[in-house]
Amino acid sequence: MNEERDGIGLLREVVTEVAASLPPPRRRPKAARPIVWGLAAAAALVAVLVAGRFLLPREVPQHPRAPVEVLALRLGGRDARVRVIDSPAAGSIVVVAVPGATPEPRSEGGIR
Amino acid sequence: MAPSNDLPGPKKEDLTALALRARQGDAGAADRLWAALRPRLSRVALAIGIPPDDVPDLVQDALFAAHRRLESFDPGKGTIEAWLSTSLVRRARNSFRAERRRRRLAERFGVLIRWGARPRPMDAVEARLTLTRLLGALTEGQREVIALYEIGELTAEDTGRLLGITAGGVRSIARDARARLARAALEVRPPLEARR
Repeated sequence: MNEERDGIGLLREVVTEVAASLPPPRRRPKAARPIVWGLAAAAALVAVLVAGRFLLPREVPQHPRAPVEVLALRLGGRDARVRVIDSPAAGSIVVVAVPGATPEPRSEGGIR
Repeated sequence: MAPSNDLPGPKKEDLTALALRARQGDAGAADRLWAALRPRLSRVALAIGIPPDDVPDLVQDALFAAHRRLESFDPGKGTIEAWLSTSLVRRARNSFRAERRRRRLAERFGVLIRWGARPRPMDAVEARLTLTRLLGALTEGQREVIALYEIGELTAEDTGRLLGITAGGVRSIARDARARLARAALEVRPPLEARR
């Protein structure tokens, strides 16, 4: 019985000694595992892309326009104002007004 | 019969009271609770056979998981020590499985992989060697019983419930383990005492 007590006593002794020599934990407590943050970031990115696909204005308008008008929009940018004037003399005349640009007055036909 | 708690620190009923206050959001009580339980859990983890270098992180993980799940602690079902020991034993078993996988990998590739080897004071090194020799005399099941029942000072009933065996089985396994430890102690005690 004494031998048994010596065995368990020695185990207690060395366990206490080793426990006292242990360093502090290396890892900080984690709020969440990295994979959780990775999945959350991926989901947020997908949400932004989907929202952008459906909510943001597109470069080319959805409604049908004449090819020359679409070309004018591409040249003038999304904010360009496009007006098509049919003229029997000159055919279709496209006027592109770009915000910020100062249009030069033109004398021909009074069109600016 | 497990020995009484002769170590400094809050008593068992105080720990349960602290746990209940921590569960209600008392941050100071939570800090004192984990600080009081950390040394005990470290001793249990060492006695189970976790490598000493891995013990601080394993205990930290167990404490943090307990902190997050503290609202599920029910004092009617057992002590806070028993509740925490469940998580510790599960993590220890996972750690053993991971260690076995690492060893198989190392053997397969014929290399010796060492992590985190750091110089230590001679006393600590000798204590670790003694601990390794003592635990080497026990089976994995015996180590769990000794760690929880003798070192962790859980009751035989709590230990049995945690490990899925009867209280009588716990006492029987502990008796065999103590006999093995006694024989192992005869081999390691002389050099340990000779240095003192």
